Amino acid sequence: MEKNYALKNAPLVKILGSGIPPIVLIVALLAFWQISCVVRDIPTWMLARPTAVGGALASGFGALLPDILSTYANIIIGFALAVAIGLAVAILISSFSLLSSALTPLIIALCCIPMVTLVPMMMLVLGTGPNVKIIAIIIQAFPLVNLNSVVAFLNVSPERLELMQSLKANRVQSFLYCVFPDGIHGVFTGIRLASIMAMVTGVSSEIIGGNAGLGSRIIYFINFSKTADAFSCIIYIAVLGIIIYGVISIIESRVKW
Amino acid sequence: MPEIYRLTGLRKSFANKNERIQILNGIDLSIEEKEFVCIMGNSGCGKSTLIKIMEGILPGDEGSILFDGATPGSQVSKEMQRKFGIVFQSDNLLEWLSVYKNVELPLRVFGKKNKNENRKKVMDALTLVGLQDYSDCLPRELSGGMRQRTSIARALVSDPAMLMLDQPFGALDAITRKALNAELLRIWHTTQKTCVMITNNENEALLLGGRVLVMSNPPAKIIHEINVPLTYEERISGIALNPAYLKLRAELASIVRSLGNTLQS
Repeated sequence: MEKNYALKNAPLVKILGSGIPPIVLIVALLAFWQISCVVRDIPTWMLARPTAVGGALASGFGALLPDILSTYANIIIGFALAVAIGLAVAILISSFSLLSSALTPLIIALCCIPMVTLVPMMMLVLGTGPNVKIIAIIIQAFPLVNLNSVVAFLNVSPERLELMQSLKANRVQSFLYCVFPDGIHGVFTGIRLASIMAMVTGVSSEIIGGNAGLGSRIIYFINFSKTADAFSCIIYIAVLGIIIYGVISIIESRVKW
Repeated sequence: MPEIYRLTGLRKSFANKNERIQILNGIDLSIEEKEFVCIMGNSGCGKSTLIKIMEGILPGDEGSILFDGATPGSQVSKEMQRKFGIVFQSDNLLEWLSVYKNVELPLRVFGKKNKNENRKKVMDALTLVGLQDYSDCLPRELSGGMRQRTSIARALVSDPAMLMLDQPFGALDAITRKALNAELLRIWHTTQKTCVMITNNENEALLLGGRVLVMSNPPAKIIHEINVPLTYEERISGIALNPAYLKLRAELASIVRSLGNTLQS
């Protein structure tokens, strides 16, 4: 019993233990996909086989690189700005109740409008360059950071606020020593949700207009029935999602209490 | 001893849905320097409200305060507020800060920047409560008693004029509570601070208090004042068998019973 416990906690076993199940699952799914395509003889133009997608990933990387970089840059810049703006507005809203009542309905509205409906109109004004995409990402992602942070900042326990009051801490001190660290988990919930929104909005605004970025490439490849290349674009998008998620997790584990 | 704190005619009411409920109805009290005063009362009688008003966290409706020769206006001044060291009902530690940083918090908020001086003050306070070896722990790594000790150290670190304790040991088990009572008595004896403590425990009140004030049910007044003429030496050595203590305890118990016996619950 004790030996078993020790084995479970050995570092190597831990790392392999956390890495092995997802890898096994992914390999199994890919195998199922490949076998289904081969057995039922599905044509590549309808559904590419994993091996074909692998080939497209290897051969198409050079040609896709500008689009990958453009999509990655838009999403990362838009997401970073959304986090900064969301947090700044949350600090203002949670400190001044008048601002809160004025801004909150607007922010909730922004959160609910699907950006896909607004982007074409924004493109009429701003063109199809990266600006419009970054703006779309900010508009869609910052409310999530904002709303979650505001809730977290306003839900600080009254006793902790009494402590700050009993020390006659000023607003800034009270925020830095008490409200912000107390609400940090809520802030990270918002940031995680916002990262998903940023991915969705970034790629879908590329699908809507312009000819740069992985979103527009996917449409292009599908139009020519190059499904393997379209899948390779999707994989690049997934990689970015995993990178962003990983970075958020690392930062969160650093500030966790 | 000279008087350090005086409260005259304090009233406080809270607004309910459709009526105002009078909680405190004319509280008068006077506290001398270096005195340890315990305040008892039924659950819900306004004990916590009283101490919050006394320490400046909550405004009273009527009445006046004289503290350390000054009377606060509607807003308690920074200088006056910072003369209170407050121990909260829950330990109220900040979970994301180490024990050391929790204790250091008042000094940082007060803008005291001298690192060496702060370090000495924090370590002195931690040594006083016996936690000098735990300064790097996080609050969640401590037991309930140790957490409350940390919170006492935090209240003492800025060398306040008065230590205010609102049922500090209410959430602790009986054995820990007993140990911390003895500890608090020793801390009071060592630091010679004026202490006001809210409690719902007769033994605790008589062990620690030089005087015990008993509040009535709301609208509350102070209806009894019991002097506890026991010396420090008598208190630390076998107080449970001291005849004077036993007599006072019987007296206090009968007062408490007359309030409607919910006090021990």
